[in-house]
Amino acid sequence: MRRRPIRVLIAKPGLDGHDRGAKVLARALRDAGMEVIYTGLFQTPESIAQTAVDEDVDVVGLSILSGAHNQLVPEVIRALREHGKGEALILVGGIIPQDDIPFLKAQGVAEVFGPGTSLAEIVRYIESHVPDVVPNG
Amino acid sequence: MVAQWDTLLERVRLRDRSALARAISLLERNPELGHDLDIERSRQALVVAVAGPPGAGKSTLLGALASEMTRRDATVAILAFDPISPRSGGAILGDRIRMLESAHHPRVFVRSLAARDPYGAGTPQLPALLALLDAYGFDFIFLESVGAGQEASPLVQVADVVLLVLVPGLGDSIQTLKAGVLELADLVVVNKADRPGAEDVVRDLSAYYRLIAESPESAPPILRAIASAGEGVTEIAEALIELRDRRAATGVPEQHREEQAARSWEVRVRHRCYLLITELLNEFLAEARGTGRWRALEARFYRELAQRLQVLAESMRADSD
Repeated sequence: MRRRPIRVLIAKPGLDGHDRGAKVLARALRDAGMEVIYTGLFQTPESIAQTAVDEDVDVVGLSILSGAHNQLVPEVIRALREHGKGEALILVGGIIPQDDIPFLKAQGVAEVFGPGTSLAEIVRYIESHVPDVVPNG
Repeated sequence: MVAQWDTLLERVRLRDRSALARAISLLERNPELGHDLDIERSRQALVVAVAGPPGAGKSTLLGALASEMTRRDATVAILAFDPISPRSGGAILGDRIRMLESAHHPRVFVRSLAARDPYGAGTPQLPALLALLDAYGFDFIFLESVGAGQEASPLVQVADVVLLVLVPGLGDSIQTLKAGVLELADLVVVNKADRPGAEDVVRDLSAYYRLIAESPESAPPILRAIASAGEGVTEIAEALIELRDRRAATGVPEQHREEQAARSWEVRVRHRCYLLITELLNEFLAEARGTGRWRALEARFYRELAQRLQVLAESMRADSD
């Protein structure tokens, strides 16, 4: 048993209004015992970073279906680092062409989950990549 | 760990927001860190419990209220409690959605917490959490939870002020609230005041308070609002600011301070016991299911519980010496 449940921020940056996937994932993570903070639609990189800090999350999951991931993801990561939250595990889900994945990973994304990824796979990935330690002040 | 905690506290006092966020996490994992924190509390902040039935618009109102407060240069912290799933222990913390506008203001700190007890008020660390937010220097601390409609809610118990949010169309809701939080309310808001029946609610409330209040002045003000449109929010903010100013001018009466300390203590002890018992019960249930040895199990349960209480007592002794 973990000393504290894993905390996950699920955010939808930019201008796409499709959050079914994000909500389904939020439920699955909850059912796996995690605490999920869902921000709703149309978030700016700045607001996502501020929320990640305030909520002290271990994981930031970005759901992007608009095709603007190559612009949005680097902006969110820059904002996270500026707010001192660069250590969070950053995951991207949505419609991401294979060719874009190396670029996103080079920016600091830990993993990209495309359509058809099983929920169990995402749960397993998070559980094995978030250490169960007390954070340093 | 203690040295790290002290450094973190120092940074919180210097208004380091990420230190505050970290400190809350650390406190959640290590309740013993908060032992002395609530005693230290200076009570600069006005702690407001936002109570009311589900669907009354508490989150929306809070969002609008926080925006209004920041326009007046006040700093605001919001602790939003959501229930955990009893099956997995996980939670979806979604109150931020309804507070969007204010949730990202530099002077508004929003933290979502998973409520781990039947009152829906999170953690035995609640008094220590408040002390932490107070140390940061917030002017207002709002507590919001699904369970805050009940008198027994720890949120209501630890708050300086109870803001009760009601809406028209809940039928006999006033009736059911009567014995509870209605009497503890310092300020009542009838939200969604453009809906039919709003005036009936106001009238019922007025009649109720005429009945129970010792004097007309001691009855809580009843305000109308349409939170989603921002209407009536200014008046609520002003009422809260007045409550805070009044308290700052007169100071917290000694008797009140004593009462707060007693309540904080009660909340912490009650929740510790609750968590301890729940944890042990779950262990025993998992072990014994299907074996049919319930009677023998019960005696063993009490013995084991006594042992754990002993361990807890020992840890306190080391602390208080």
